[in-house]
Parts: sequence; C-alpha cells; structure tokens
Amino acid sequence: MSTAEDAVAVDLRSARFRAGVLRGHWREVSYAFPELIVGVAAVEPDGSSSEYCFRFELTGFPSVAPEVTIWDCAASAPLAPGSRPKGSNRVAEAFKPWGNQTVYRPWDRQGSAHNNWATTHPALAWNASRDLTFVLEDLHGLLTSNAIPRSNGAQS
Amino acid sequence: MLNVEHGTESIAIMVEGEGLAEVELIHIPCGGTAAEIVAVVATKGGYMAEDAVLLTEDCDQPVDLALVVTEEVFGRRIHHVHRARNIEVKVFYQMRHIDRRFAPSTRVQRALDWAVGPEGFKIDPSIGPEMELALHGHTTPLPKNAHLGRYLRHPCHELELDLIRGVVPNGSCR
Repeated sequence: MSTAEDAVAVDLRSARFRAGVLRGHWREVSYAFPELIVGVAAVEPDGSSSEYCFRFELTGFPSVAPEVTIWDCAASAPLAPGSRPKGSNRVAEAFKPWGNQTVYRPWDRQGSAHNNWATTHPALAWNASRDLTFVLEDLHGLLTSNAIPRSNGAQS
Repeated sequence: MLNVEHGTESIAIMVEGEGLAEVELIHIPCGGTAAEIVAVVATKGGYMAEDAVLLTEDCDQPVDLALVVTEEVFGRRIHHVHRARNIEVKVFYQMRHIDRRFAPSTRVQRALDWAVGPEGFKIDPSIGPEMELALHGHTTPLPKNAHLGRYLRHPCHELELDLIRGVVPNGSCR
C-alpha cells in the first residue's frame, strides 16, 4: 500500500469522516485508489433534499491536493452543467463548468493553482495537514446553504 | 459500532467536549453506563467527571448517566461532555449584537441559522447562504458541525462570535 493510499485509509476511518456519515451528510459510494466517489447530501432551492456525487482523484495525497469533480456516476463523467447544484452566487461559482472541470474552490488541485488562491484564500486552501473531511465539510456547507434563506421569512 | 479489543466487546461512541479540539471516537465496554463516557472525556479534558454533564448533539437536556450504553441509543448519535450546562452566545454584526442561550452540544450551524434568521439579524435571503460565524475579532469561519462547547472552558460560559460574509472565490476561469 502506498503512502497516499495509507493516508486515504486513515482519513476514511477517522472520527471526523465517520461523524459526517453518522449525521447523513455524506457517504462513501465507491473506492479503488486513487479514485474515491462520495455522495454529499444537498438541499435544493425549493427545499427538497437531494444528493450529488463527487469523484476524488487522490494521487500523491495528502502532499498533493485532491482533484475533485462533481460526478455523474451513471455516465462515469463530470455532471452535465444543467444538472449541477443551483442556489446563491457562492453555489453557482463553486460548481460552474470551467477549464479544468473540477470544483472551483481553492482546496482543489486545479483551483489551488488558479488566481493565486492558495495565497489569497488560506482558510480554504489545501495543505498537507488537511484531510478529506475538510473538503467534504466545505462541499456539504455549500450544498445545504439553500436551507438558510428558506428558514428566514424576514427581509432587511 | 461494536468492537472487540483485548477480548472485550466495546461500543464505539463519537464525542465532542470541553478540552477536545475535534470529534473523537472512544470505546465503552459493553454493559458500561453513560457515566463512563463522561469519565473518559473528562480525563482527556483534565477535569473532574463529577462536574460534567453528557448531552446529545443539538439537544438541550442532559442524558441520564445511569443509562447503559447501547449501540442503538448511544452509537448512532454524537455526544458532548462539558461542565457548562448552557452557553450564553453573543453574536456581533454591523455595530449590533444579539444574545441567546444554547447548550454546549449545539452545532455552529444551528447558531448560524438563528443569527441570520428572523429571530436574529434578518439577513437578506440573497446573501444568507454566504454568511458564516467566526470567533469574535477573527475572520476564519468556524466549522459548521463543530459543537459550540468546543470553544470555551468552564468557568467561562460566554461565547462571543462575529457574523461574517464568507468569501466567494472567483475569477476569470471560463
């Protein structure tokens, strides 16, 4: 087993990862190193519950950031743009199609090299002390953020 | 989850609590009581178990420490051990602040929902999803699944937070 494979196994057994599974926030769909597929719970703009899958390419993990793509498991391909999560500008930006097809966030392997994000967004940037749950918490936070305005009937 | 270690069956329990930086997995021997969960976490946190309460995530009422730990009741929820029964949370935003009492087992997400909602700052729904909570005077958002009790130690029972607008990384990327 490679160092990267060991590191992934440690993360998948960690209390942090298992807590997310216990809460119903994410679930392991399949894993064959270096490819991990995880389903992440979501709330749609109409309030309904759903799930989106993400493909993690984990070569060199954790020294090398994961490459994370929103995934169509049936087609084994990036999810079509029209089927991607909808919601606030924050959601739209994160899951929009762009040059590298990966999730558009500073922790992604492609995103971290983009626009100097590793420096300008250190709280969201990848480093070797991060774990898979760091990414999953960010994805789950984005995908369930539609729940917040629904619970707020007032305006300001 | 049942485990067998050193020939003894045990139940894996996920806990957060005062003195723990993260959610942790502990093992309680089958037949043990909830008081043993408190004892393990209190030892890790460096305080007396007699002073602490056991709570279930996002619940306000302490768990009866005489209950026998079972997989069905304790293994499928995340628990919290703390010497504070309640926390006075104060959230600052644009020269105002609001207050509310929460149990230390409350997730940051629930405090955020309250802060942006109609009982809080009534944040416009168009930017509500972009709001985050940070420790007062800081800019790094708190993890939304962290328990509030993680951020303070008895005898301090007050937690000051800032409601901040999270960053939306974007750029020329088409």
